[in-house]
Amino acid sequence: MAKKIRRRQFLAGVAAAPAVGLAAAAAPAVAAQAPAPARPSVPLVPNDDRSLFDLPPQTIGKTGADFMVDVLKSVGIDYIASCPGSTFRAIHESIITYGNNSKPEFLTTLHEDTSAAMCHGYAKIAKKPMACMVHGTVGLQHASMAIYNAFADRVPMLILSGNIGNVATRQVIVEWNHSVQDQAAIVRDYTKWDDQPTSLQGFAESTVRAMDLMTTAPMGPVLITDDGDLQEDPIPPEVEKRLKIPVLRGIRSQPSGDVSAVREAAKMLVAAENPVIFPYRYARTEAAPALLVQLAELLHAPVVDGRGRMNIPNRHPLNHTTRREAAFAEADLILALEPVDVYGLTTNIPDIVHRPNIPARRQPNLKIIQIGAEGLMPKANFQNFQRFAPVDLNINGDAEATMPTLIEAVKAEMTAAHKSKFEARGQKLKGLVERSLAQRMTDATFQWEAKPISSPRFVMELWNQIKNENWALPTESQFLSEWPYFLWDINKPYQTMGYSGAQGIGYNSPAALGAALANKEHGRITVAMVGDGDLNMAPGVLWTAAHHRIPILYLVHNNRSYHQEVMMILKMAARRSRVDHKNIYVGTLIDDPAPNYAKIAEGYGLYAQGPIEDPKDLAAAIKRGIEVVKRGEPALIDIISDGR
Amino acid sequence: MSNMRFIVLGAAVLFASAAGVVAQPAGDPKAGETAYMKLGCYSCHGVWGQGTWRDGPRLNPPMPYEAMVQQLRTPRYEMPFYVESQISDKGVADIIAYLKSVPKPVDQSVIKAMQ
Repeated sequence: MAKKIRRRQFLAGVAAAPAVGLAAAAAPAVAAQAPAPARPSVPLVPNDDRSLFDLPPQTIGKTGADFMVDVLKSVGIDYIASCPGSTFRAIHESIITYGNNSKPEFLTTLHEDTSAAMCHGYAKIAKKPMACMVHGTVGLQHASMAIYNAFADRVPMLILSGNIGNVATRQVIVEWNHSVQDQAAIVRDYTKWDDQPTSLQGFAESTVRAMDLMTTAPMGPVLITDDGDLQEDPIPPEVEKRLKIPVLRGIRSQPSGDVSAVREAAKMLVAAENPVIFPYRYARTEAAPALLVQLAELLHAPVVDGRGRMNIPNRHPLNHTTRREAAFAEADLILALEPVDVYGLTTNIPDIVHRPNIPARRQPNLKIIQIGAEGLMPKANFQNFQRFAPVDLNINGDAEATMPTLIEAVKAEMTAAHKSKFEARGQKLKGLVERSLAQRMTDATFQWEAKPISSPRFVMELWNQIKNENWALPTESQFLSEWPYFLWDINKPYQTMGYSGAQGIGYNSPAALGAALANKEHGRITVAMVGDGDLNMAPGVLWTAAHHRIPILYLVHNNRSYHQEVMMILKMAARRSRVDHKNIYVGTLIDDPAPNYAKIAEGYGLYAQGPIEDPKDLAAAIKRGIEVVKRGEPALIDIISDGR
Repeated sequence: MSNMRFIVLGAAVLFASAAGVVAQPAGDPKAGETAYMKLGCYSCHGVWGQGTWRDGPRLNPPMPYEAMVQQLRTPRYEMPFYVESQISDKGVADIIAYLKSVPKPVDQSVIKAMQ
């Protein structure tokens, strides 16, 4: 009936047409007054339940996208990283005008992979999600690798994608290429949840549900696909009155381990002769490291940090990570907290012909307790769930949420005799870490003056400039042989944030920028040691840093290669006695010509220095870079470095 | 990794002694540097043999000649094989000469002062 009325209004040349959206097709209200468009000279093709000429050409009043911005504000999204795209042009426009580009603020990126990876890094430091907005089909596919990293790393982000769902209103060619029947199918294997709401009320409820789901362990990205018509159309006043944005009420909880199982874990820990605690992605909040220290000190048990998060200060006397294998070899019980690879705790698969499964040197009576939320989000296709390994006690629940209960259970289980025994154990552990660290220090002395600049020199020259500052290092350091963990004092929960999740190269540069965004409001100096291979995956991140005045010091660990692959190809060729072949470096070097990252950074608007080839020049260059960052701007130093 | 270095070294010395390897030829550090780089030793062990945390133990100061030959011919763990056609025994001596020629380590106090 409503349709007929609208049609008649059009045919009669009535200027006032009802504003309709897909969610409010039956709403009879008039949203805006505007002149009718001139009648086209060609016959119109009917547009199912809506006609272009049923809508006024100019919207006066609130649009669907405006309401979507209300929803994003309501759930606390402060930033949206995005490359613009026509499938979400309406919500883009609403964010920057209706929403005044504040909470959320639109952050312009030069690649959707950067948008998503920024969300990844931001959430790990801010402990809350931000959003990325990606173009229908093309943008989401660009973003997919960074989404996979975040999923594998169990980090939340809100992904908003546009889509022109209505075939009758899609423009030819481009909008068809950018539209999809089931957009979430592209990334469903590695998102926690998705929805494609067909009404504004549905958008509100789905977004709030998404926030609830993604911030509940196990966390992960969620995708909401925003229909183009829903964004662009005006909201009839009667519909607007009925729209409600749900609010998450009450105490937000995380899944915690079953109490009876936690008590059993406490019994096993107290009874063990040599328990070792192995946290991987354990720390979910900034309170986590202190809880872990409390448990370790209660038991006088060494901690071998998997470093998937900032779990424990690296200089804590019970942090035995530098003697990982020795600690595991002595253990009769391993308490694994949010582990990823339990199989690898007892078995090695060396990179040699036949890839044999070699049992690691472990006690025959070794028992393993696993506490983690991994099992609460099973997926089938991507294999990031790792190899199955049976454990002696598996507690399904978030490890940090379970920790207070475990600590109390251990206390309840302990007697005075246990206390004395544990203290004696602690005495025996003293000095072991120091010996291990002294060995690393000796290693560092052998390469101090080396050219290309060695990794320990690289990280210590940086440390010397930041050690008295409020600093944060959001990038991975395994490609610098983890030297910061050996030589620095890392004791704040925000100073490191673990690994990429799925080892997809190109994570560090944009994720560090997201982290820097979170650090900015705390006045922290963000230093990002990124590989040249990593930076080349997303060099446009430099422009985003400059454009949005995000302070960060990029230090390019420039070994002019994909060095991991240099090693792998050499190893493969050595197995086949072909290591001296003239083509041995084909495909692994980033050289000839050697990119000049300082010039690239300058081109994007950053203060930059380099290439720095002499280690003696490093201190002054870093000092200048830090000064720029302290002024609130990004800077980059290109450092010609040894492979690892 | 330091432990791994000593395990590898110990095992190599043991095998070498049992095999009765020939005396060490005179080494040429320049030729050794060329071989060290060409064979890709630097990629895991660092340009001066300083080692890396996970990928290759420190080779400086270098292990004895016999042990080095043994380790290259019948390596332990993930170290790839290097047969005679890739690097001769003389070439191994050259590599050792190169590793002995690189600058000496600095005093630890230099680094500790920065901590």
